[in-house]
Amino acid sequence: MKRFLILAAVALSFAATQSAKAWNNIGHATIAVIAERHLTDEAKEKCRSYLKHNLPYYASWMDYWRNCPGFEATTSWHSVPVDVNNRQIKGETNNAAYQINRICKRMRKYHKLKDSIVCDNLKYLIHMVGDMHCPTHTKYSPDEPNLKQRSVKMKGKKLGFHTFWDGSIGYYNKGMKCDQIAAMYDTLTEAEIAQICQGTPNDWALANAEQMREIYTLLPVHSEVTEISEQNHERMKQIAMQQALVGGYRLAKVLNDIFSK
Amino acid sequence: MKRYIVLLISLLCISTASAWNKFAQQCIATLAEQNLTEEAKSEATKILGGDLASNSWWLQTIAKEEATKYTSSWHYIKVNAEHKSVTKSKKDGVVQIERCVDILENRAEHSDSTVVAALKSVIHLVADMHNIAHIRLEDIPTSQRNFNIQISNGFTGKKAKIAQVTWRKYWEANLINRHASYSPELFAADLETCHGADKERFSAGDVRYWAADMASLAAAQYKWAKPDMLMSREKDNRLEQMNEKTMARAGYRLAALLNGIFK
Repeated sequence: MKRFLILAAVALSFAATQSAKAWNNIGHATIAVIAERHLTDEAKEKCRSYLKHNLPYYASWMDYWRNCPGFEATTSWHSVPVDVNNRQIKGETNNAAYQINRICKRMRKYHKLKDSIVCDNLKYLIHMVGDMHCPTHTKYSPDEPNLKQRSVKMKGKKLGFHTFWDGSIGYYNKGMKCDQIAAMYDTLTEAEIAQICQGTPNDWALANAEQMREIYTLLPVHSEVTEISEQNHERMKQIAMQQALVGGYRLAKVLNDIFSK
Repeated sequence: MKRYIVLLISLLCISTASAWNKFAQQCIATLAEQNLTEEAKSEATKILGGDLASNSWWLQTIAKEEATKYTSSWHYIKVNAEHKSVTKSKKDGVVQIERCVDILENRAEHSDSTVVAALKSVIHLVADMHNIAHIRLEDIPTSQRNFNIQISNGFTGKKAKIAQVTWRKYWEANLINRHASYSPELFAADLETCHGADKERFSAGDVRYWAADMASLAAAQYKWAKPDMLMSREKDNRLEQMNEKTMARAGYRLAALLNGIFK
């Protein structure tokens, strides 16, 4: 019987891993759905004509390809490294904000690029604009040990802090699909959205770096996720959903700007 | 111990495979419904008392019941060495689709419950015949149609993970797993964006022709797939694209079939 229980535990943890992976996808897909809801007709038409798919289809594309031959360099493009003053590390190209700026610059003349290049650039933007808004994707300086990635616990089991936050959109919206989540939260006014989209990817990276310090106080190292206060959970949910919304609106802004020219 | 292993396998099946199959079935049914003529949609809805997607899983549920266990073989189609579906066996998916189409075309002669069952069966079986692992190629022995494969997450070093799944579960669950955070409507909309231009080409021909088309695709997969092979992330990514294309084929073909029946 003991052996069966061990085997059953292995089976259940396998099932849990499967869902955890889906939560990551659900976060990216939610951001892409929000963005798609705010594309201009022109940008939507252009995106579809280059991608041959809707935006959410490629939301996790960079994650699936990051370790495939030819894509190795992209594996460090998913986060934004910053110093103790929340400024991006100078000269560091393994940086989502840097890569977004580089691609946006290149896409100014998208009509002169090969279709396949435009398509790949769009896939990078769809993923990276979302990723730079993920709470743990601001990489703080090693000189700030309190802001280091750490472990927490989920029902007694060790869980990466990063993994928890990557999955937070799914965690706080259990049983919902990405398009349902997007429809539920995407309620801001045009003026509010315009305010959120002001600035450049560098400004957004700075704002994220200033604001995301809070998550390290809400979920302390080794804490049990299911046992932290309701107040902390409420705030964590607020942060997760705010970042998804902001990421979605800014992704739409980036794509609308590219295709308005 | 044997008992426990059997229980464990059932536990794994409950927690992963069956639900994903349901999602794929719902996506295909949703795509089909979006491509029905008004007449066909109205008639199908009247018969089912609901939409196609919410009735797409029924045949799977009755396969578990003792009295209707015999239907479990219908989920597979058999093709000969030339990739043609020539069988007349009632155990075969293609034969069952043809039987159900006949009932639906002559629905005035059948009871309401028979007509409802026929329509629910067609919805499920047209989807299933488009799953690579549901095609039984005559020149491949039964023992070689299902085997374990290893799937890499693409990482090396500490982050490297290898998952073991059966070939059948890979096609039924793993590939569509990536899109399970979508609603069926969202995924169907994506299939339409990506494959809408091909819908006429996909839906040409009849059920036997579609079986041959899928048999050719399946045969190509069995040429490289070997027991215990390691599936690279790159290969996995490419097969995912192929899988969604077969789902689009299924959706458009189901719509064409129902539009033909309810014209």
